[in-house]
Formats: sequence, structure tokens, C-alpha cells
Amino acid sequence: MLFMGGDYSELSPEEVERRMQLWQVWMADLRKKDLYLNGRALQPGAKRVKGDVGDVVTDGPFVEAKELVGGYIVFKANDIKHALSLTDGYPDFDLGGEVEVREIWNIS
Amino acid sequence: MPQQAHTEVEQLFRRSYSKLLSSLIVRFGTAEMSRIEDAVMEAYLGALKNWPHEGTPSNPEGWLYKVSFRKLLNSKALKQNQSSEIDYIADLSDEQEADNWDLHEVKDPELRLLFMICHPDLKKEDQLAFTLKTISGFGRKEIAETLLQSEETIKKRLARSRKFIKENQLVFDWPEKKEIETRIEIVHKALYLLFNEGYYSSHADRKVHKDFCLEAMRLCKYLCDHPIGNADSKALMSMMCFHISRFEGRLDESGNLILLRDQDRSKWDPYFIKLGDHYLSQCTTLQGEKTAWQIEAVISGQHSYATSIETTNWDFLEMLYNALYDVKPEKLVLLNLVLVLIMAGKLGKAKKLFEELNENDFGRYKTNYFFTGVELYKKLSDQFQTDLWMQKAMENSSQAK
Repeated sequence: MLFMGGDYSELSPEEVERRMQLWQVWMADLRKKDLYLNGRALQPGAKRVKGDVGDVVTDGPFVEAKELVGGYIVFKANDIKHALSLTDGYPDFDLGGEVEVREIWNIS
Repeated sequence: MPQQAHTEVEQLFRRSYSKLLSSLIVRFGTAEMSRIEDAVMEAYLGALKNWPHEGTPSNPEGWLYKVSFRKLLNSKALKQNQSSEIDYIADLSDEQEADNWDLHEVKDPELRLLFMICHPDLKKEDQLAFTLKTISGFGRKEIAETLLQSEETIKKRLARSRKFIKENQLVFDWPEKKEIETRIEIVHKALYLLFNEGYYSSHADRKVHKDFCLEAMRLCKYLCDHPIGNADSKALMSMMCFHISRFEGRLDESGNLILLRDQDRSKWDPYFIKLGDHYLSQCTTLQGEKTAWQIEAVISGQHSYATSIETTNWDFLEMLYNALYDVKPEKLVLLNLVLVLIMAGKLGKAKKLFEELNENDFGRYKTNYFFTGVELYKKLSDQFQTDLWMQKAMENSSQAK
């Protein structure tokens, strides 16, 4: 689906680099922000009012929470014990290892 | 019925549904929304039945309009049960009107409907259902399946939105100047929600999901090109372009998600990366407040520009997420920040932040939260905790299934 008439050939590595730098400059004035160290908005007593729960999450297309680690396991084990036994010799997985876990348990 | 003819009618329907609706709303009023939708649906079914035999009319949209129009007139007449002379004359001119519907075509019908339905008092789920059905022309079943809801739920949401329109006597027109700023923000959120539903649905009907994304982008582009659109409209567009640029690399043939590390980045689309960049350049200046929309666009762009996970600028992403939290203080933002910190090798910070979070903060993304725990403790070489969080993830998954 073409949105514009222009010719959009690949971005060259130089162009990519330039853009990355551009956005860092753009953010330069916010470099000092380090929210969680300041403890701002993360007071231990952060309220979780009953009834709020349903409305708490405003979902968004965030890459990290959804694609760095993924969000589901599909498996057909009899119970948790069974499932755990399937992973005897517990997989020592690095960042990509979550995929392995999924494969082990993804019995279709 | 020949498949070809069927498909053509379907395509026509999707393209012209909101156009037809809008013209009829202008004529009959928003209070008649239900009746209008029924009439249009009947006209469409009539087309499916008649056109294969009688041939496609030379002006198919005009045909649909005329037939819908007549149905609406007739239903009113039935209610009134009158046949005075005055009514007869009125009917005649209405008929002529039906023949000349091009003169009464509404400009920018979809945007108008969108602004109308993006009312601060209407629930966003109901807004979404209305948008998908009435503005984008998706079927109830498609909507239900993609949103992982029952058809009954979707039906209720649609009914509620129509009821809302009627009870609040919503006007089918642009909002007043003083209201535009509030309304357009709701419109942005509605498009964001629509896009997200298409982007992250967790089962295999890829086509419909991508259609939701493309539909959000189509409407957003409309908004960007229209005087009512603002800088945030462009930022949103940019963000969606960057996200869609990575779409093809994300799912395998079975529709399972491929994690970022394993995605084939050669499948990422440079056209949309460049387009995202184009829109981003249009809406950002060196000075001035950074809005959540802009920041999210830059975040998405960082991923799209990166050639690998290792060369992704995680330190910069940390900065971006901190800034995002400032304007959008939501838990999901913090969860992403935790992961960015892990990737940046700042495990102490990551742990500290992660401990502030709670599973109840994450709704249907609870398992993502648990997996983040797995990731964190694995990196910290804490086998006990890793197992613990993995167990939580599994238990949560088993409940979900």
C-alpha cells in the first residue's frame, strides 16, 4: 500500500547514523532525567485502589515487553509438575532462549 | 454466486460503507443511526443477490445509496402510516434527491465520523467497535475474532455506541474550535488502540490483523493531510510507520511470534522506515516539549534503524523511556524500561525498578511481566528466582489457555 508517490529506496548506513544522531540531539535537554533513581512516582506506597485494576493498563505497541521476551507459552502438559519434568536439565538459555522454551512446550 | 462478483461487491462495500452512511446521516440525522446501518446492510445484501443476475450498475455507489434511501423513507412512512398529498410530493423530491446523491456527498466522511465518536464520555472499547464497524467496514465476526471478544460483546458495544450517539444527540460535524484539542487527542488514542490491536493480536489470522494496522494508518494519514490534524497526528503516523516496517519479520508461518533477537531484519521494510522518518521530521523541532507521541515514534524508529539487537542504542532508549514516563506515567512504560536497562547491562537499576512493579499492573500482558522477571534473574545468575518466575509465567499461561 503506497502512501506517497516518492521513490523510497533503502536508507544508507550513513543516513541511518545521521538520523540516530539527530534524535539524540533532539533529546539532549532531557539527558538529565533519571526518574527511578530520583524515586519519583515510584513511592513504595504507590496506590493500587481496588477497582482500578481493570483500567490500569493502557496498552501500546511496545517492542521491548512484547518482542524481547514474548508473552505466552503454548503447551499441553497434564499439570505444572508434568511440564516442569519436560524441562529436566533446565535449559540454560540466553536472550534467545525463551524461544527454545517455547519450542519445547509448543506441542501442536 | 460467482466468487469474482461477490468479492467486488465486498470491496465496494468496504470502500463506500462510511461514505454512504455519512450521506444518509446528514439526511436523516444521527438518531437514526441504527436504522441507517440496517438499510445500508439490506441494500448491500440486495446487491449481492441482484447484481450477478442483472449486472453491476454503472453507478454502484449511487445504486446502494438509492436503495438504502428508499428503505429508510419506507420505514418512516410505515411508522407514520400516512399518505397525504404533502407527503407524496415530499417523497417525489426525495426520490430525485436519491438519484443525485453525488451532490450531497459528505466531504471527509470517515474523519467526521471519527471525531464524532471520539467523545470524552464514551468508553474507548465502544469507540473502537464503532470505528471498526462503521468507519472501517469490518464485519462483526472479524472484529470479535481479532479483539478476542465474543460476537455478543461486540454487538453490545455497537449498541452502546449508537445509544450514546442518540442520547447525547451527537452532531455529525467537526467539533467546535475550543473542543478540537481535546477531541483530537481522543482520536489519536483511538487510532493508537486500533493499530495496537492489529499489531499484537496473538493468533494466526495475519491478514485481518495487518488490515487493522493499515486501516489505522489510512485514517491517520487522512488526519495528517487534513487541516484539523496537528503535529501529534504526524508523530503518531511516524510511529505506526516504524512499527509496520518491522511487521513482516515478526511472525512465523504458524503465526507464532518470533522474538526480536531472532527476527530476520532483511524482511523489515525500508519504505516504511523512510516514511516514518519523513513524518517524524515534520513534527519535531529541537526546542519545545516532547510529547508522548513523538517520544514513542523516536523509540520505534530506534528499533527500525538498528541492524541488530547488539547495535541497538539501549542507552538512548533508556533516556527515551524515562522521558516517556514523565509524560505518560504508565506501568507498561516502566516494564519496557526494565528490559531496556537489562539490555544496557544496568542490572542493578533494572532490578530496583522491577521490584516496584506488580503483576496486577499488566492485564493481559501479565505473562510478559513474568518473562521479564525470568530475563532479569537469568542475567543476574539467580537460578532460584529464574525458576520461580518461569513457574509464574507457566501458571499464568495455563490459566489463560
